[in-house]
Amino acid sequence: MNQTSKKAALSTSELTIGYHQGRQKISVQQQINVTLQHGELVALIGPNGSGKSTLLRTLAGFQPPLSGDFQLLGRGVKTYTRNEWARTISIVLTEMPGADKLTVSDLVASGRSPYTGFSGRLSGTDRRAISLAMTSTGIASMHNHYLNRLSDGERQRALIAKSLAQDTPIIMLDEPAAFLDFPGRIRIMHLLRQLAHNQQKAIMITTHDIGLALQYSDRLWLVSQDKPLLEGIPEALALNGNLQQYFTGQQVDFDVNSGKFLLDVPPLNNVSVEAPVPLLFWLTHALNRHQINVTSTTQTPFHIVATHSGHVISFFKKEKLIKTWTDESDFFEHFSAGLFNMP
Amino acid sequence: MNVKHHTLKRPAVRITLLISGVMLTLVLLLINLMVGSVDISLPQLLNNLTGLEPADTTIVAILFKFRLPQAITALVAGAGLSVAGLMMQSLFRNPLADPSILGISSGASLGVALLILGAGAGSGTAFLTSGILGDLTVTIAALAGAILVMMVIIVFARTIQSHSNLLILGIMVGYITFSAVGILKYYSPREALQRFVIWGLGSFGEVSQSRLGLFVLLTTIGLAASFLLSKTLNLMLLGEHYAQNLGLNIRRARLFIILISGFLTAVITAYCGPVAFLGLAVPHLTRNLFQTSSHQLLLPASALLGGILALLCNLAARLPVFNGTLPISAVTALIGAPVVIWLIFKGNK
Repeated sequence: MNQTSKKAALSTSELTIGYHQGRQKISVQQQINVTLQHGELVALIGPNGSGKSTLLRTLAGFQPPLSGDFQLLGRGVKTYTRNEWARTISIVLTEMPGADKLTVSDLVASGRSPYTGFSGRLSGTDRRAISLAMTSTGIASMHNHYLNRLSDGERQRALIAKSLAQDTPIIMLDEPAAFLDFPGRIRIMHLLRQLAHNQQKAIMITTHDIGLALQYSDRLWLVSQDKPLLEGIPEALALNGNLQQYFTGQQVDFDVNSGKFLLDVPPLNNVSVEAPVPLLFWLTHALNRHQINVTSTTQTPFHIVATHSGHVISFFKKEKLIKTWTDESDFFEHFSAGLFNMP
Repeated sequence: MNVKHHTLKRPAVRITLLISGVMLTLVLLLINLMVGSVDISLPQLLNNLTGLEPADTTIVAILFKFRLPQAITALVAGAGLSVAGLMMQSLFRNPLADPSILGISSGASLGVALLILGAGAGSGTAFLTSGILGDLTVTIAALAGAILVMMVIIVFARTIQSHSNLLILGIMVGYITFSAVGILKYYSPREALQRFVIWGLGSFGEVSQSRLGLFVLLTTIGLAASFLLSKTLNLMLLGEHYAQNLGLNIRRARLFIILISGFLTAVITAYCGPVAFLGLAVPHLTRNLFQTSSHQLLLPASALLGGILALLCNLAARLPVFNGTLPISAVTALIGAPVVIWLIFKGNK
């Protein structure tokens, strides 16, 4: 490990971000103190208007902080030249460089600009970096395609390849999964995590997709309009109630048992379930859809049991058999919440 | 899409295109010298140009006083306007931008209007018939007007962050100068007005032999300076944020682009009057023909294609059927627009 990787890739000290409206300063987040480490993928999550983009724009150098400061690789940002900055942080934004006749390799090659001279001529090192970047993002076969003919996912990969060619220790991505279909999101997040873990990149993304952030990021930065920025490990934030705190509101509640956000309405009834995996998960899933809460045996007189073989499912009330279903499909088709009201 | 096919052939196609472009330019130059009110045959032309045989003084006079300056003016002006247009399109990331988008050629119009119309309204018409000297003052007036507007735009460019606001501002400055010209026109005597209208249609034939050298020199300086901006323009094409993140000083880059594109437009408009369409259409044609967005190729290729198209237009304007010379701005669009339309349909297939 060299010297730079021991230091934090990015750290803020008492950073206040916001914007100017006329002569007035409007701050969005005050006194932020966070660090971004090499080799980790951090997701900045929070509701709209909580300052996600402002923070990203500030850290990427597009707008000055209202007060406070931040360090890149242990050095104050004010000591950075334009070119040093370009070699330290690269960005992937939601706006697409949609220039006509711009090919994937043109775009990725632009990532070498901080390293090329006045004429922009590419050296052998530059060409190797470009082809490596395209290989590690899986778009090498499309190097000659025009950017505006690609799918959203391919374009996102091309932009990430541009960032890799830029060869910066820090990469920031604004909503990298926003326009992608479901498998596309998973693939992009997996790619980002791999780049963080295998190439020791410090990667920060903003996202609306909390599920995805929980699943793939090493660390979360939570922001909210009226609360200070909070950082932590996803699982820890879920268990200690912070996720609930930051995202509860407007009748939506974070369910710590399932890791999901649910509409905050009281359940119609409680039931305990006994079943082999994966049936247990899907039985719970189906019951939740019917607004039935699944709890432990001691808290409810209702009980559902599925046998290990053949999956015969039985419904008990105070240990008295009320109904059986021949298998899970039968159960999924014919279960109704009315059962709970039977004598 | 047959991608492999493209990969293998693209560089070869480009080189072929460039070489045939240069050859076409030479051929068009020769034809421009041969065709006109007096037709000169190829052997005659070569003899008189090289001086191998005793020269025919009439033909030498026609060639060196009129046709050669006109052909070279067309070539250089076409190249310069196309490059200026390309720079505006890349700066604003807008295919509809052209060299006049920031009001710089309107500034030239205003300068000339003040000279021709203002003088006409004030001190009578004696000034208007002063020949070559008059032409030189027209050039200076146009240059002054264009550079004045360019200065205004540059002052704004230093304070305005957003490219699109700057674009709107340039268009507004254009409108203001246009109105001023309109008011001057309204109060002008007929002869002055006619002279202004003729200036406004553009011509490659007004640059005399003695003034050609300076015109070519200035335009060449502008072209050479633009070639130094190819990396900058490539970055600009990605959008402000990406360009900035890749280390580009956006404001300085924008300043240089406006300065060089504006300089080319100002010089060419001053010498040739406003020449429409080339600056808008040639960058499109070049992108489509060369299938690239890289300015290392686009800049020289646009210059080449612009020169070719201008020579072609210059030839068409002097076709015998027109009984004289048509105004160049009328011909450029008449020839160029169908080509662009054809390209759009071809691209859609």
